[in-house]
Amino acid sequence: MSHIWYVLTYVFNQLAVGALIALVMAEYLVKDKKTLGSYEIASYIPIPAAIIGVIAICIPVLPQILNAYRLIFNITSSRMSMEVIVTVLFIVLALVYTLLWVCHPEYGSLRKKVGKIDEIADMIGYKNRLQIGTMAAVMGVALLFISGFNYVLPSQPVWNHYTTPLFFMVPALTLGPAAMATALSIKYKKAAKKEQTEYKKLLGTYLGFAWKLVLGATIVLIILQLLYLQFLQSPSAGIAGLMTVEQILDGEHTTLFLLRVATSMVIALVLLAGVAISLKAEAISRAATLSIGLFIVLFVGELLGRTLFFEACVHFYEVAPHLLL
Amino acid sequence: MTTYKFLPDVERCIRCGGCEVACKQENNVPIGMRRIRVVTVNEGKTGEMNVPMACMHCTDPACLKACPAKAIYKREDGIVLVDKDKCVGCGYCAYACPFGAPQFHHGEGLFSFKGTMDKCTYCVLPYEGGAEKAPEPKCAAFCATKALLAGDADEISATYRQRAAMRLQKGEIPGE
Amino acid sequence: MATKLESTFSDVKMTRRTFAKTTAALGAVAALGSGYASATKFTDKIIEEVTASPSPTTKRTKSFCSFCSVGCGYIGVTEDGVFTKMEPWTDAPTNRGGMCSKGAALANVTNSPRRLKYPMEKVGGKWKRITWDEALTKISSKLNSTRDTYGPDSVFFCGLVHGSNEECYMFRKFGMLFGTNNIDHQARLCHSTTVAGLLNTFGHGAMTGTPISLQHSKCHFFFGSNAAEAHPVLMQKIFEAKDRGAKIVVADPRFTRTAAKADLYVRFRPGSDIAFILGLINVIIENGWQDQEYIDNRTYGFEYVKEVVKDYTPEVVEGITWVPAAQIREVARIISENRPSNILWSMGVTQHSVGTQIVRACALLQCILGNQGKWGGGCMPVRGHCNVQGATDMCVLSHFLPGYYGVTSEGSWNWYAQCFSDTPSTSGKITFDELKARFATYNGESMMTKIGFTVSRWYEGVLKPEAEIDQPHNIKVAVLWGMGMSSITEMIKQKEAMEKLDMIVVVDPFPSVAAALADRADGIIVLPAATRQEGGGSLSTTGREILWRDVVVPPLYESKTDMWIFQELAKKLGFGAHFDYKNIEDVTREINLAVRPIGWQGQTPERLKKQKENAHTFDPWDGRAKGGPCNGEYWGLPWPCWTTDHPGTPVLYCDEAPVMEGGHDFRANRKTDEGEEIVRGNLPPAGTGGTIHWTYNYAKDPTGEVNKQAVAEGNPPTGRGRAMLRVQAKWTDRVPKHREPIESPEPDLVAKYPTYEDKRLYRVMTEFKTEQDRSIAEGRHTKYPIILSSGRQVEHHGAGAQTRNSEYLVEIQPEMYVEINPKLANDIGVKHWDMVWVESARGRCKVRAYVTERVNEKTAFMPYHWAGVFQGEDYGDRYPDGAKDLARGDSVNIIASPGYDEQTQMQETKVALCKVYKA
Repeated sequence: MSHIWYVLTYVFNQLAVGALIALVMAEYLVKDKKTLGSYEIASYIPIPAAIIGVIAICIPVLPQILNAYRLIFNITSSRMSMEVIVTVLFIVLALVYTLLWVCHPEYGSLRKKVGKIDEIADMIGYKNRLQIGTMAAVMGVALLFISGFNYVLPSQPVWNHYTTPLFFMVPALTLGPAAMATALSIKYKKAAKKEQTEYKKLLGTYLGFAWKLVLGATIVLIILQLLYLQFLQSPSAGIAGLMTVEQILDGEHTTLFLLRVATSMVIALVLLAGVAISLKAEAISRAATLSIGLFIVLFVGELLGRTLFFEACVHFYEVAPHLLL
Repeated sequence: MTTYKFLPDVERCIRCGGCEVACKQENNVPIGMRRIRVVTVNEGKTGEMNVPMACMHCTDPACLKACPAKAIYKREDGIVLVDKDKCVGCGYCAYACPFGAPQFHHGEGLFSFKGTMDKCTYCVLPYEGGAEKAPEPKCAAFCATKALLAGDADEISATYRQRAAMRLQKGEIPGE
Repeated sequence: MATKLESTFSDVKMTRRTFAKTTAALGAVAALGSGYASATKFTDKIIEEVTASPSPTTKRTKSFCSFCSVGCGYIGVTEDGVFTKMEPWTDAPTNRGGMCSKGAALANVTNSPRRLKYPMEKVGGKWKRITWDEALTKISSKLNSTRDTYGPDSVFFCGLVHGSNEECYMFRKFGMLFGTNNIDHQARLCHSTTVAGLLNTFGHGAMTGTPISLQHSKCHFFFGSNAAEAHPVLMQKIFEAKDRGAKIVVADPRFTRTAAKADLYVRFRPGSDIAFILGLINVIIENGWQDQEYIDNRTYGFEYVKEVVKDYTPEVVEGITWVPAAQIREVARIISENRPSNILWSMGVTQHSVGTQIVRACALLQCILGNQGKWGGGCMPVRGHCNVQGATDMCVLSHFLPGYYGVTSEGSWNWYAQCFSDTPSTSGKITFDELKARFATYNGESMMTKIGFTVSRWYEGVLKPEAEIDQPHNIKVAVLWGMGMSSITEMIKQKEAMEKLDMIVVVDPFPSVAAALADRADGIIVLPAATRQEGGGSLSTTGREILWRDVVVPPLYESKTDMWIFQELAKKLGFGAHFDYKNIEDVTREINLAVRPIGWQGQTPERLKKQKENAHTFDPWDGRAKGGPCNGEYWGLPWPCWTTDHPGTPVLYCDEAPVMEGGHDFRANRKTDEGEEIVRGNLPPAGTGGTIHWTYNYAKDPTGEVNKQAVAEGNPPTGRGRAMLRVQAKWTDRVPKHREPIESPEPDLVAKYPTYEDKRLYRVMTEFKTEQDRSIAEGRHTKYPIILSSGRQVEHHGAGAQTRNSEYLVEIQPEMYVEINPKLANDIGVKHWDMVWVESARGRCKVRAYVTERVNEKTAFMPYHWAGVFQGEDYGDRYPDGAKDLARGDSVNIIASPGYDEQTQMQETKVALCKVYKA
C-alpha cells in the first residue's frame, strides 16, 4: 500500500509512453495518409495518462510541494533529477504532438472548440508532427529507462540488474498498442452502422498489427521474468535475492506474483490468441471486445507487477550484517 | 584532519537497545522514527549476531549522490547531514542508502505523507533542528558493552585493533 | 488557564526543556478531565516554571540506575527542575557510561504522564481523588482497627525492592514496630534460594565477587543466566575478559542472546539443573581435576559429595538432562582447564522447587574447582532489581531481621530493641518487652519469633481456612509497596485473595495490576510514591557495592518519597518517635550501627558520597582507587566493610590478601550437627600475619571494638571457617541430589527422583509430593506436552510497571509473546506473530506466537513482565484514572507451576507444563 502512488505513476507513465509510441508507429506505418484521421482518438491517451502520473507522484510529497522545484538541482549525479527533467520534456513534447493531432484542420476533434489552442498548433505547423512525435517517443523511452535505472542501485541487490529498466520499458509496449486498440475499438463500437463498415477494415488492419506487437512484448516479458527469477538466485543478488525469491515463490507475496503471472502473461496470451482467431475469422467486433478486455487485463497485471516490484524487495540493510560474518 | 565514523564491534553487541533509547532521548526523535536500530541476523541459531545500524557517515555517501534536491551535505569532519528546509521528502535517499539510515514517517493509509527525511546526525542536530552541537554521539557513549565505537576514524581503528590483537593472541590477563 | 496552556503549545521552537515540561503538563491536563480544581494548580505551577525562566538553570546529578542490580552510574540533567535527559557518566567504574535500553529510558520513565499523580481511592467502582492526609488517616485507622480486631498478623506488608537501603530498613523496622513478621519482598521470588544456599554453604548469601571482578575470570559459565538481556552492562565485563582470552560456556534450556556469544552452548531440560552440575562434578572427580589442596584446607564434607556424585555419571545425567554425555564432559573440561572460572546464575537456577539445592550444587562445583575466593572465580548469582541485594541485607523478609539476624531467636529482637533505643538518629525508646508486647500471642507463644508469610504464598493467608494457617486470623489488609503483583505465580488465586481482603493499599509510582487486578468496587487506596530518581539514599548492587544516590529531581506531581510516607504513617500509628529521622543519612547511620553480621560498619554516608565524587580515581580493572581522597578503597565499599578505615571486600572468602586489603574467609562460628567446629586448621594462612583466633563474637557489639580487634589480628570478624559442602541435618538433602520438578514431563524420572514430602513452611502447608503425584495422576505430561519457562526481555523490567509505561521501550518491545519452535508452530498451524492460547492446568493466556529456534520443540518461553490483560481479557478500564499502562499483555504467572522451594518458598516459574494452540 505504501507504494501505491509510485505504482500509479509508473503504470500511467508506461501507458502514456506506450500509447504515444503506438501512435507514432501508426503514423509511420500507415500507407494511406488519408485514413490517419481515424486514429486521432488514440491521441487522447498519452497526456491524460501522463498527468495522472504526475499527480500521483506529487501526492507523497504534497507537504513540500512548493519545494519540489528543487528536484532538478542535482542533475550531475542524481538520476531522479534527470527523471524529473525528462518527464517534463516528454510531457511538453507529447502535449505539442497531441495538439497537432487534436487541432488538425481536417480531423482535429478539438478544432475551433477550445480557445486559442488552434493558433498555437497552427504556429508550430502540422508538417513537423511526425518529427515532434518521434522526439516525444524518444523522450518517453528515455523516461522509462531512467525510471528503471533509478532503481538499479548497489544498495538494492534485488533490483541491481539490467532487467529492472526493461521491466519498465517492455510493458509499455504491451500497454500502448493495447490502449490504442481499445480506443479504436470503442470508437468502432460507438460508431453508427454505416460508418462501422468502412471503419471495420481499418480496425482490422490495426488489430492485426497490434496483437503481434503485444504478443512479441509479452513473450519478452515472460523471458525477462524467468531471467529475473534466475538472477535472484545468483550470487550477485546474494541473500537478499534468495529471501526475495522465497517471498515471491513461496511466501507472503506468492499470491500477488501468481496474479501478476495470470493477468499479464496467461490471460493476456489467451486473449491475444482470441484476437488472432477472431481476426482470422473476420469477426472484427469480437476482436474489438477481446482487445478491450486485453487492455484491462494488461493494465491490472501491470499494476500488480509494479506493486510486486516494490513489495517483494529485501533491502540491503536488512541483510547487510550477514556480510560481516 | 578529523573524520568521524561509527564502527560496530559485532563480537560485543547484545542488542540491549541502549543506543536506540539514548538516541531518542538525546535528539528528541519521535516514535516511529529510528535514527539507529539494532539488527539481528540468524536469530536463535548458531551465528546469531547483532549489528547496531545508524548512519555510517560514508566517505562517498550514496544518499548525497542520489538526493535530487541537494538537501544532503557532508561536513568537513565527515558528518553527513540533511537540510530539512531543502528536503522534498521524495524518499530516494532511503533506496540509495545501503544501511537503511534515512527515516521517514511510517503512517498507514493512502495519504500518510512521509515528511522530510531524518537520520542520524552524529548528535550534532536534534530532530527539531537548531544550532549544530559538538559531535558526541550518545548511542556510543551509552553503549552497554562498548560495542559501538564512535569518534575520529583513527581513534576507532586504534581501539578496534587493540581488541582484535587481544582476541588473536588470547594472551595472559594483564596484572597477573 | 487555557490561554497559558495555549501559549505553551504555541511556542513553535519547542526546546527539549519545554518538551519535557509540556509532557508533564499534558499529564496534568489529562487529570483535569476528572474535574479536580487543584489539578490546575499543578499545571499552573509547571507552566509558570516554563515561562518564568528564559534561560534554563541546568543541574547535573550523578546517580545510579534503578532497574537491574549491576549499579550503572549516569548523570541526570535537570533544566529548571525538570529531568530532561541523561548523560553518560564515563568515569563510573562499573559501567563506564554504558546503559541498556531501560537505563537509558530513566528520564522517560520518570516523566511518564501515566504515573499515578495523587492519592486515590476506589469507591463504588470509581476512582476518586483524595488528599494525602485523608489517605494516610484512612489507612492508619484501618491498620489499627485490623490490629485491634484480628491482631497485627492480619496485615501483610510486601514489596519495596526498589527502595534505598534506608527505606528498606525503615520498612522492616515498620513491620517490627507494627508487630508482625508478615513482611516480605521480591527477593523471595528472585534470589531467596541463592541466599539460603550460599549462606549455609559459605556464610554469606550474596554474589561472591563484584561485576568488576568478573574481568579477571578465565571462564564464565552461565548457568541459568541470560545476562545479555537481564544484565546487559555486566556483559561489558564479560567481554573484557573474553577479549583477554576467557572462555564463555552457556548452559540453558533456551538459546539466549548470551548463548549466541558463547564458545560452547549446551541445551538441557528445564528442571534438571542439579543432575547437570553433579554430572560435571562427577567428571571432574573422575579425572582428578579437583583442587585437592583447596578442598582439604578450606572445605568440610567433600567425601559426602564424592559419595553422592558417583551415581551421576555423564551417561546417567544424559538420561535426566537430555544433554549428550560428551557435551557434559566437554563443559567439565573447559571449566577445569580455564581457572579461575566462575559460575553465573540468575533465576534460571533459583526459581525451582529445588532452587536452594541447585544453588548449593553450584557452590559445590566452585569449591571443588578451588575457584571460590579467587579474583574472577566463585559464585556469581546476578540479582535482578537495583537494590534487591540491599533489601535482602535489610531483610524485608519474614524470616530475618536486618543483617540476617534470625527472627526465631529472641536475641535478635533484643539487639534491635537496643539499637532502636540507642540510635542517635531517632528519639524513640523501646525495651525488648515493649517490643514483644506489640506482637500477638498464639497458642501461648509470641508471634514475634515466628516466621511470617512469604510474598510467593501470601494469598494462602487470605484464602485458607483459619485452622490451616499458623496465625490467629486470616490476612485482612495487604500493603503492597512497590510490588508488581504479576511477578507472583498462581495469579488466579491471588486475584481471588485480593478480592477477599478488607483493604488493599498500593504504594507505587505506577500502580499497575496491584490496583487493577482485583475485581472489587472499593477498598483500594493507591498512593503515588516517588521514583528512585526522586529519592536519595544508598543502594547495594549485586556485587554488594554500596552506592549513594542523590536526588536527581524532586518528586513529580503529588508523589512522595517512601521515607516520607513511612514517617507520616508511623506518626499516625503512634510510633513516629522511632521514625523521626532528620534526613536519610540518619537512617544510614542507624544501619551502620545495627547491621553487623555482614559488615555494614564502614559504609558511612560521608564515605559513600566521597567515593561518588571521586569515581574517576578508581581503576576500572580492579575497582580500587589509586591515590586521591579514596586511596586504597574498593568501589562501593563492598560489604563486609568492617571499620571506617576498611576498603571493602570485593571478593568474598579471598584469603590471599590481608583483611585490611579486602581479604576474607568463610564464616567460622558454625558447627556441624556432629559437633565439629567449622574452622580452618591451626595455621594462619600465609601472608596474612594473623594470630590463631578463628572466631569472634562481633555480631551484637554496638561499639565495633570486636571488629577492630579482629581486623588488627589479621582476621575477618566472621572468623576463618570452612565452606560446608555438607549442611546440617535439618535439611532433607545434606548434599544436593536431583529431584524432579513438581510438574515433570517424565513420569519415570519422577518415580526415580521424587520431590520432597509435603511440609509446613512459612505458616502454611506446602504440597510437594501431593502436587507432583497429582500432576502424574491427571496425566498433565500428556495433556500438556510443552515445558514452559519464563524469563526476561531486555527492554522491560520486573513486573514491567515502569518500563511498559515508557514510549521508547514500548516502541522496541510492544507486545507479550510466547516463543515457540517453528516445528511446533507448523504443527499447530500458527504463523509468526499470530495470536495463540497458552494453557496449563491453572489457566490460560492469550499472547502472540514468536516463532524462533531459540527454544526447541519441547519447550516454550514467555517473558514475565506483562500484565494488564487477564486470561485474554483487557483490564485497561480498571486502572486508576490516568495511570493505565501504555502496553498491556497477558501474564505468564497465571499459568506457571504451583511448585515452591523447600527452604524459602521460592516459586517454581521455570518448569510448568502447558500446551499451545491457535487463538
